[in-house]
Amino acid sequence: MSENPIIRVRELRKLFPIRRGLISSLFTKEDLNLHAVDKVTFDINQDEVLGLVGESGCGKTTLGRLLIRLIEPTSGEIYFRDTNIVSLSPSEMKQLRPKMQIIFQDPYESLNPRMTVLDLVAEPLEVNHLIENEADKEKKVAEILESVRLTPPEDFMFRYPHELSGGQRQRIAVARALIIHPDFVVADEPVSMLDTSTRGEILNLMMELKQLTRSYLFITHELAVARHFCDRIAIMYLGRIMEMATSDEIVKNPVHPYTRALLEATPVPNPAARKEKVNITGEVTSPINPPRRCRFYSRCLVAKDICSKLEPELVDIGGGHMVACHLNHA
Amino acid sequence: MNILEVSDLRVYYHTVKGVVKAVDGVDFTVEAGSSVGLAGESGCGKTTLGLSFLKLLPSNGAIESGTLVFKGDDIYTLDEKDFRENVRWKQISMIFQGAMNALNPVFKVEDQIAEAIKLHDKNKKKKERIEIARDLLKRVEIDPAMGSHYPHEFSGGMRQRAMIAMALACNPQLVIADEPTTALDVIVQKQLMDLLRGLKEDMNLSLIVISHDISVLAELCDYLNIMYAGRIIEGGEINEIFRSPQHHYTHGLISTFPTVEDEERKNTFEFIPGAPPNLLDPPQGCRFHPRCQAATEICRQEPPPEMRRISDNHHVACHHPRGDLV
Repeated sequence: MSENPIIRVRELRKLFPIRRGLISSLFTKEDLNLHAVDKVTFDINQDEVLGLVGESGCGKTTLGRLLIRLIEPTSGEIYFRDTNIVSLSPSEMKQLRPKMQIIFQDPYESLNPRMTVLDLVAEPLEVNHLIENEADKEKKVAEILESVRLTPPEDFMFRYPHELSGGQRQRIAVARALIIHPDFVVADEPVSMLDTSTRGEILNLMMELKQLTRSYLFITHELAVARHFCDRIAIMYLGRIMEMATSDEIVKNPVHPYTRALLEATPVPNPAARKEKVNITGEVTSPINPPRRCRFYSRCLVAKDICSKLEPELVDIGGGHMVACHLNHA
Repeated sequence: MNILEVSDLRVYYHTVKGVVKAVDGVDFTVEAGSSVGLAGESGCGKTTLGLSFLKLLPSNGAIESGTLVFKGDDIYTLDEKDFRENVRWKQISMIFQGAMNALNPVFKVEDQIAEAIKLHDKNKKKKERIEIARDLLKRVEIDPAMGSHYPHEFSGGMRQRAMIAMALACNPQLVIADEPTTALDVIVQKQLMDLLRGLKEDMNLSLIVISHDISVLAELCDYLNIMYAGRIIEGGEINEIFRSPQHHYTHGLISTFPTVEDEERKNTFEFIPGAPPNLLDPPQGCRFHPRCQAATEICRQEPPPEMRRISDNHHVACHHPRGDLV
């Protein structure tokens, strides 16, 4: 499977400790931790788009931020090419940062309202000392604005974010991430705040600009978008990857009961193909100190005895299709 | 029989920057027992239209003109007291957008539902009201014992269910659901759609569902209206609209929705260029013309087109409907 991985993640874990008041800490000694990402292992290949799909609170944003070390992992390893970035010092990490960038979810929050488009887009260049002079800065910014279709660039350079529409702002966010030609970009729900009629434009742009970057981790809660945007999809539930395969395979041959439920529940824009009642009960359980069993156990309709006793590992069931479910290899 | 008939409705907001014509000449009907979808992008006026049916507009907004007829009675000219006592919640009620924030955090859920009953039906005693509230919770598949809990103890899906229970408190005949599933996870969204569909059948409700997500409307509705920049630009039987959208905007909107069920992976995504207009100063002519690939001189010059008939069940406001291309 790992043809030429750009990112390798091994047993990655992030626990957020829950702080408690004096009284409740007197009664129990056990530490409470929110298991945001819990022993996750996967690779992202060179030139690949890996989709990370899950419901809110499953840990997908935390995982995205861990990969570029915006937050520190509790344990585990993250390799960028051959470097374990977890062990790098801050100054070594800083040298690596231009190679890894992120596009944030909300373009209404992620752009400093007091900066012009020129300064916003040039900021990554300045931070990494990649600009010679003012003329060079404008030239480079103009180039990237052209490629994200904010044309003519002179019309946009001296505007402020509030003068732009949501779609235009998100194009600025894309330009900011790609201006230093990173090898790897984490895109955290880049279109979820946009109107449906304008989303396609941003997705197409990101697809085209893959020549500037190389690989994406594309985080989304929408399986329908991931199905078309991503080469492979990882389905995440309560801090664990439940299933991972090519996007064709995930949609056509889903194996994990959770993946199947997600697919069944995803509405289809076709009134002639209405779906039956969904076959799943309850809502996502708490990620705080989850019991040692399958995380999906309490909602799973086909759960067996073993599912309540042992946490399934993610294993290859053939052709790189990975599943973490006892029923498929018990 | 139509339970709701709205014609030529205009709702304007008076702001410091000028008059925002959020709803600008809308005709809208709901057949009794049916479920009608209202789709559109943010800022197109769909929520304002929904609120105006209940006369619940913000203080700077007002219905400028038009008619609102509910079961044959004019409800537009009723004064506020009359409307509150006889129409709002008893006949027409609403499931508000954003269940996460729509419940009061310092009151028990059952008390909040009972409050709606108290406001509109003064004869019931407190004990009776709580009993009704618990029955309603059962109806929306929440353990009635949870009624004595506070909203923060409810999950997102449960809060939305509580909002639905609240809308049903006075046995209305028409319920307006404003983005009933937005911001909920897909599985919870599907459970709620199943619930709404069931309640509609059991209680013989008519439903208006407002959403930006046409795939949700495709699951829930019998009829669909598409709103753009303060006007309804296409409406009709939902299968017909999806099969053969006549307005270029409708067609664009439907094709921008990716679907999981496609056999092949698509490498490009459909989109409509540009962004919706500012309603302070909507474009001349057809409001969609700056984004429309089929626009001609007439679309730029003439006043916005009137609805024209495609079939008994399908109307469109376009100078150049797409014909049966699909």
